[in-house]
Amino acid sequence: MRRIIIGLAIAAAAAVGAHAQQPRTIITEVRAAIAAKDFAKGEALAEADRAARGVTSELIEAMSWLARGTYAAGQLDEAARFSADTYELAVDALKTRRMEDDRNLEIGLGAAIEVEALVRAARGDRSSAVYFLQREIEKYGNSSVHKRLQKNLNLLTLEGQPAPALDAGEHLGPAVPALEDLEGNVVLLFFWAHWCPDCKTQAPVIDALLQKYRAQGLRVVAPTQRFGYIVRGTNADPDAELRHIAKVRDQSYPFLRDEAIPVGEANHLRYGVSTTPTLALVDRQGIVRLYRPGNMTEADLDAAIRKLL
Amino acid sequence: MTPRRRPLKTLIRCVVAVIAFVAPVTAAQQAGKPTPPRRVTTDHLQIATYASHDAVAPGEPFSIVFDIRPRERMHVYAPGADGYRIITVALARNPVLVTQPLQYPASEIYFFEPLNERVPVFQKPFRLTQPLAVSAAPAQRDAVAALDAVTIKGTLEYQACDDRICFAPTSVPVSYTIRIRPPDAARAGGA
Repeated sequence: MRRIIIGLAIAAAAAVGAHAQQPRTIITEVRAAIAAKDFAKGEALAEADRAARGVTSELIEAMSWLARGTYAAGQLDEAARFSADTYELAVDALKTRRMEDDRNLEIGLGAAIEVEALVRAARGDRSSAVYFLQREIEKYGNSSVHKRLQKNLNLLTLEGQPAPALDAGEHLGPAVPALEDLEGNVVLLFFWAHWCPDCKTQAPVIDALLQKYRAQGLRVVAPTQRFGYIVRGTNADPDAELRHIAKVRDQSYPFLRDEAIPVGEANHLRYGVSTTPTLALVDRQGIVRLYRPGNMTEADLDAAIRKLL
Repeated sequence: MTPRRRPLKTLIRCVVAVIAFVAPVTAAQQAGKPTPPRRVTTDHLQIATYASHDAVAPGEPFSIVFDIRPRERMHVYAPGADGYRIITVALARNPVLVTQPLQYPASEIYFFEPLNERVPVFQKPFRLTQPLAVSAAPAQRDAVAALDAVTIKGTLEYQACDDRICFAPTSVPVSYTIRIRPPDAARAGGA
């Protein structure tokens, strides 16, 4: 028994000693403040460190912990602010430092991008989160943060999941079909907005592919929604805006006159669409196989559709 | 008698000197300093917003300021961009406030090649200034006199796109509380 007590005492002393030897850095200090849920103290420590030592890689990592900590605490506005600040500092640091040589910088940048995407998704902006990650992967795809970004993208995209049901309420054109009724078809969901210039440039691509593959089972459903205004940003009542949507469809998307256009927020919420255009491709079994915020080239979209037909 | 007056004269001089020293400071404090900036980060913009004065007298002009930095590749639409949601500030109606038109800086033209469109936008850091005053109009005198402070509420409204994609219209709520000082006879009556 005495030996056990002595052994425990030695172990405890060793543990305390090890803890005491752990170097205190701005990262450990900020993390301690975060652990105490004192984010203001963490931010003040980071600001003081920056004033004393400039923008170091340790500071960038410490800032990224503030982003992670506030996100974990559900403080989305603060998390967005910290992640954006961290991101800017990291991008600036990368002008003179290599990420591969600097673990703190790599952690800081990766976490900043991750938190920003998570905040967007938590706010219901899945397409914005996915788009953001896709663009960052374009930039950092050959670097050590690629895996981390790809993992987050895989978690946030709808790809591989059953397609959320379509809200069949208000619509333009034919009635909105239930996705169950479309099983056996490949369905391209084209989320668009009446004010969206990029959507107009995507229209000819979808028109051409619909003509090309309709006989083989391609269907297009084009959800849109009201935004409360029409031309020149003039506020509009719901009827006036619906008339405006129909007018824009006829002028810029004539091929959609024969396709179902659900009008309402529900589909955008179910698919997490806050950016337009957003494309979702649903296979014959009702599984989302492609979820893409932004335009696609005819060649890329053609290839994606052909794989499913 | 004369010797007895000297200390009094000295005292008066000291008091005058102290008043002369303190008065401008007090006046400056009364005139108000900017409110601490509130920083907001959206998917598209980094915004710092504040009121130019934390305390004003009725009729004294002040402003709500938005210092806006579009994030990488982003642009928002400027006056003249027909068909787009132009960035603006929408203040909740408040009868004791007098507002002037929102002040925009010069914009630049964004060329959207696929549609051959040239659209006025802001894509570099810019400032929006919303001029305001607490009403000094006789009709509002009693209402203003009953207030220690006025809270200004509103939203910054905009719609952003980058070089590939457009984002849903966004509304950022803002709020500022400004103390109201007693009317300044020299300045009152303007608003």
